[in-house]
Amino acid sequence: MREMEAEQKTRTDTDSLRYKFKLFIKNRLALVGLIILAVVFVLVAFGPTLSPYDAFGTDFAVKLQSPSSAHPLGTDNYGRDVLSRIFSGARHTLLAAVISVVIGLVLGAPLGVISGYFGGKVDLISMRGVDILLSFPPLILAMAIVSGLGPSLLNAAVAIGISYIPIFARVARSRAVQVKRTDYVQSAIALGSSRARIILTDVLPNSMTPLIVQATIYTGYGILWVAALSFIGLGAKLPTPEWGLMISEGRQYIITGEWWMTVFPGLFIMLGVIGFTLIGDGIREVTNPRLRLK
Amino acid sequence: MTEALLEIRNLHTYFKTDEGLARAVDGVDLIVPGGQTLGLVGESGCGKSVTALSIMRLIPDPPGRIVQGEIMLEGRDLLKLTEHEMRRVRGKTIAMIFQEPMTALNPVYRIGSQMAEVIQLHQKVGRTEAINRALEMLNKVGIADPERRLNEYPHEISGGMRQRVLIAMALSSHPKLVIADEPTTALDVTIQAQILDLINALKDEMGTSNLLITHDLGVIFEMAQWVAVMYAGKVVEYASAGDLFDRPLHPYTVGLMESIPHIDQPVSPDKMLKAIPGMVPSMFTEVEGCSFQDRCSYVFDRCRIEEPQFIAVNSGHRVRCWLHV
Repeated sequence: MREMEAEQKTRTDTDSLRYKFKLFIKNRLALVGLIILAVVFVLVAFGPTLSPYDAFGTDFAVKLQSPSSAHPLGTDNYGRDVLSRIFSGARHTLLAAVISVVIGLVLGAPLGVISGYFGGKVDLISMRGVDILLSFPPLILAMAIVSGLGPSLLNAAVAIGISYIPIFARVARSRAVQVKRTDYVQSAIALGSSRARIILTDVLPNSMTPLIVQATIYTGYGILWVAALSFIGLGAKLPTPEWGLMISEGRQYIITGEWWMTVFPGLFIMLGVIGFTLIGDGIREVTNPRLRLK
Repeated sequence: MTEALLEIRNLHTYFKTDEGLARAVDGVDLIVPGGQTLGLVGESGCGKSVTALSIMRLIPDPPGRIVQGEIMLEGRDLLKLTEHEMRRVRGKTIAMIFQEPMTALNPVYRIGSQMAEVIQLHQKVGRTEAINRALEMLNKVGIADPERRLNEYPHEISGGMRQRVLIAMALSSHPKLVIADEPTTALDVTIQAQILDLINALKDEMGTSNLLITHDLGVIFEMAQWVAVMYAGKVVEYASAGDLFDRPLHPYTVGLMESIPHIDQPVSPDKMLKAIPGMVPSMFTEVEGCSFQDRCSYVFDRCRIEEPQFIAVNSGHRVRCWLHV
């Protein structure tokens, strides 16, 4: 009897959130991702407060100084502290990345769910539209959209968000196709639920896990793409301390040896991307028992 | 015989497939009397479940279509209702209990909120009242500690208990007809008996009629007052349970009875269980004459030429066989 109870308990535990969190933490890489993300979020929330100098304060007396105890990551061509600019800029880059994912998710997921649930002509038409969007490399598509909207950080985020729509639509569709065949959807239909209700209460909630994984990973890519658009002048405008823009500003100084202007913002972009990707993979592993077995 | 709650007349449901037209249901006539249980029995693939789904109008179209027939529920032909009207019949007037309790509950919601949702779908009550009624139903289906179960997720309870929850959900809107499609096939034998007893008890308590689909004649014997035997998409015999077990008329029904082992008759090597020889005809080919002709030991010329009609032998006992004209 006691054994049965114990078994019952472990079975229940494998699905509890606490157990999943433990499993997540056990995965070293996911833990690293979590730590990176914590740092990034602290920067987003308190970046300007944590900065030792004003991110916009020019001081030509100390321009282009290599890393030192006064300026740990050096100064740029206007004598601004690179560390302070990176700290203050975190929120611009991150916010733009998050906005793009929200746009992609909010527009793409319902499209995919409806397409997958109804199937037939609806599916055919919307998925061909998605195929057309997917046939462009995302960055090229985003560039085209920004050129239409006019360059700004928000427009860059919107453009990346639009290029994300097909990605989220695809994931949501494939999940919706699975969920609609489940017994609980059949039984909901037999109990008299309307299609709208089934989509909202059955299909969408049961499609969330892969979408969350995808959203996390694409927030990481979002950082990269926001920076890329800013780098080519289609995102943030001077003198915003956006990471991609900082690299762009510093690129002419690489030849003359002032590498810190580009390398450090680049390192932070990399860290952000890696952090989100590791977390995304970690969530995927925890929520997919088949991956867990290895 | 009490008044009919549900009467199906000459139902035909076909599916268009790559291999051709599949005649899954090809002539079903049956009556579910009010307050009683009709057992629909037949082997796999004979059209039992398609009949049930046709009643609920849940045949996926395409590829399926109900091409002919009438499904009369309290004088209304369900096949003539709009989809919107039909939605109010589903769950409210006719409820269904499925075969797979393990997967028929939505994994992301607690038992209580799923049940309350269904209750609010058909009854104008607030959330608190809906939860109270859910609790009452869980009590009715014999779930211990129902307050705790309300706050649990489906994966936290056993298969038998899930089937009880599904039965509670199906009955929560006081339906007139409950269709149970092999409700115990996926459960342990000990739990099977409990669930069948429960379905029977609730039928009497709540005054519902049951359409019980099974391939198990033993279950029919325990549960049903009336029996419809299906073979190759057709109802071949319809009778009261007593009549059918005492005096099976269709050779297929006789064959089914003989293939059941009896606990009081030892099976000796020279007296093995009888199996029905041959195979069920493909549902893709149209058979001329009786669909049982190739397996029937009483077959004669007429069986190969003309399809037998569904003939009343005496009041309530009907059979589709030329032997009994």
